[in-house]
Amino acid sequence: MSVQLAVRGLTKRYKTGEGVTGINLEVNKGELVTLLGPSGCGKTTVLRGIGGFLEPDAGEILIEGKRVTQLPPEKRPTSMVFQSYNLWPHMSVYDNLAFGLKIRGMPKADIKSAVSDALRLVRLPGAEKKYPTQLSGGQQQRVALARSLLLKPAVLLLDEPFSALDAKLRHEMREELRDIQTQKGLTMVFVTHDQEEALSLSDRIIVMNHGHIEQIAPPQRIYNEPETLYVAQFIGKMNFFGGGGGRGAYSGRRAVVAEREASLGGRSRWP
Amino acid sequence: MGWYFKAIGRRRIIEFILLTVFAVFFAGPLLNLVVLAFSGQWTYPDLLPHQWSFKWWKFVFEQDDVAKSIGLSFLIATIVTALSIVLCIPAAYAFARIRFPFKRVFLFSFLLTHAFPKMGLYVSIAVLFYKVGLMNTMLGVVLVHMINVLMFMTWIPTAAFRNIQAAQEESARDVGATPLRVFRSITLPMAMPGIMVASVFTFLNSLDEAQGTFLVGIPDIKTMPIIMYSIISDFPSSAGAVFSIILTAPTIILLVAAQRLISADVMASGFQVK
Repeated sequence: MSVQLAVRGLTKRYKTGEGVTGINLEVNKGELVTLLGPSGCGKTTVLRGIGGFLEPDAGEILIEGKRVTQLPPEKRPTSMVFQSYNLWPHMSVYDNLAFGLKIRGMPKADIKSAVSDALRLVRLPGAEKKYPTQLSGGQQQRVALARSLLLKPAVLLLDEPFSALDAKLRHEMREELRDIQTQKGLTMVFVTHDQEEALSLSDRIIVMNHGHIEQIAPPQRIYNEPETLYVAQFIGKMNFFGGGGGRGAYSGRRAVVAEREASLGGRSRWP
Repeated sequence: MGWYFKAIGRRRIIEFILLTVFAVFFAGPLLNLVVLAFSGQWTYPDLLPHQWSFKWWKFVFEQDDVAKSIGLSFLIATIVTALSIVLCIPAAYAFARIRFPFKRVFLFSFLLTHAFPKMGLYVSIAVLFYKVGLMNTMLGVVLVHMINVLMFMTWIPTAAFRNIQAAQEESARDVGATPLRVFRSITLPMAMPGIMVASVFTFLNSLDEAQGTFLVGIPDIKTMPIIMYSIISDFPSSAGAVFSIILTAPTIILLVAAQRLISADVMASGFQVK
């Protein structure tokens, strides 16, 4: 499996002191990787760095083996789905979708068929003439996704795309996204603060905290074998036993015991 | 009759009276103006003129300087609007998007021209214009008109630009548009309602401006309001009425045309300083 995206030593510090330091990660072709962490942990900073929306203080970003660190967003083979305000309200759905293709100089007939294919893929066939304000939040995000897919990006970036939607719709969209991803073999980096979303969607999860990476592993591993106390606490409800109370034995380390809520019928066995 | 008034209730009656008073107060003078403009002979105690005619219209349009002043006014208003768009739209974009020191101070400084008594401001401008030879020139008048509209022309588009979310511009960059293309295809069209409102304001303001034009443009630059002064003082009031209608017509036409754009929202957001 080839490496589609590599981030090496990415550092970006804001004046407020927030930011990320020394981020290293690799995403394989066709893989869906989630950046998971609480708000302010720097996950969006990493994503925006990959998309070209901020200039890193240090580090390199490689896509398909090519350095893109110095390129502006319009020159990068990435495409981003934003949390909100994705679409341009003065353009119809068709114009929204066709904008990027027109810039690339695609013939009009090709644009037309590509747009209608993309709309069918996101289950909004025939919505070309509508305007974004006539669509619901979920439909708008579908159009935004279609717009990104149309450009056939080497890496698709999603910045909490479903967080503004209600729970049921979020579930549906998640399933659809996963379907499309496997169908098209897309490489995706998905940012979320929702543990459930990350666990159910990803091939691998990158847990972030305070601007650095805590652990990179598949969902099952993250859940069963969290490497740090932070990951264990963040990923779900667990019982923790403080170690090091006795002299020396664990020298301050903590033994982490994870108990799956489900197997206990939702109640802790520990009194 | 008594039962009828009881049935509709006191509240409705008061509302009706207030509305009538307002209508008479608001529309009465305008109606009087229209009647006056089309009257041939109208003697005192009569409610309506006993002879209608177009003679004052003919009279006004036969005046040489009237036709010229209408052309001149529209020319100046067009130049003022075009120039202030060129000048103020980039400024508004900067106010909305770029962080720089003393931004609020700069934004508020546009209010200064409206803080002083206009005549005082114009007199001091006239002193300056004398020195640089801008008195009695078209450029001088255009500059004076622009001073009046800088505030609208900057504040309203600033709000319009500020209402465009960064993500909307970023997603355009993301699909491959250069910064210039983003401004042309995304930012500018989305801010257009605000810019249109400001432009209509500017155009009307320039058509209507008299004080500054009078001081700086005399004796050669005679716009419609300036001509109006002399017509009102030299001829019967009917001529003045005709002329007021000519002056009001573009305002009404432009406002009706822009009605769709002039929403209270756009206006109000123009006067928020964030």
